[in-house]
Amino acid sequence: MTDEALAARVAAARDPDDFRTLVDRHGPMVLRLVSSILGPFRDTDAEEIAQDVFLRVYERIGQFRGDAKFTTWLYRLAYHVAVNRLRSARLRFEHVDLEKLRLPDTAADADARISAGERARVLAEEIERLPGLYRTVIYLHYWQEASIDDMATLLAAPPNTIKSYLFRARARLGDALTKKGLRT
Amino acid sequence: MSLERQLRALAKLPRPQIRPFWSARVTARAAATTSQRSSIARGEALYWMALTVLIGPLLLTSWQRVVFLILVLLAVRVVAALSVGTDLGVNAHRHTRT
Repeated sequence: MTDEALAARVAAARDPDDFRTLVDRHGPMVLRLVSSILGPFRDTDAEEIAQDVFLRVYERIGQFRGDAKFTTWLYRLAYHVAVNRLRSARLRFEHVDLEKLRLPDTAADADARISAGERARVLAEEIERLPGLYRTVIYLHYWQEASIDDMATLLAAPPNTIKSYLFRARARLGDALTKKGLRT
Repeated sequence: MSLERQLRALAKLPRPQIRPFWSARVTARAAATTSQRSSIARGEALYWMALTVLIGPLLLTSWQRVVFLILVLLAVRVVAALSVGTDLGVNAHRHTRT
């Protein structure tokens, strides 16, 4: 059964089994999107936020009219829930854990490791400073290893637009690292 | 070291995973929240119907009583808004736990 048909059944009959099928199908992708909006360095429970997304889906499923794909509606809702949560976390001064701002080491010898460690910390800081959408595409692509097509589905944008976001995000990061003298 | 290579290192960081029975828990919670809300709404509707039938005619016999009724309704709205605020506060607290 298609997502749209299942959504219509959930809206009409509130059958938990139908709803659970939707959660099973889309839970992993929603978690992927929510995690990428929050980022790997933040102590916020992405699974709990993904749960809240589905609670809202259950609450508002009557508003889904079927004129767009169910996934488009779902991921848009997930995006807004996660962005709002991130915003409120920032308002409560729940900053990124600086101890966690360290990417895995890729250098071989000890001297290079110190430099690589510092470079990784600065890179992680600069990723956190990117505008929301750019940060999300970086985390989706490099942390969650999402394909361009998956990212296009999650962010409801054409693949070329996603490529352009990635390009611009990388360019900003490159500029930031060059300014700090860390670009080779 | 190239930027691309550094960014690829992000893939080594742990990713949140969905735990077993997660979808069952989400479904149960969604169903429970909805039934709780609908029972509260039903109770509230019954309360207002009873109130209207029992004391409405009495309160509407003079202007002072109409004003009193309006003030009571406003107070009820304020209390309801504050209780929603409390619920949000509880949720906010829940979401801040790490």
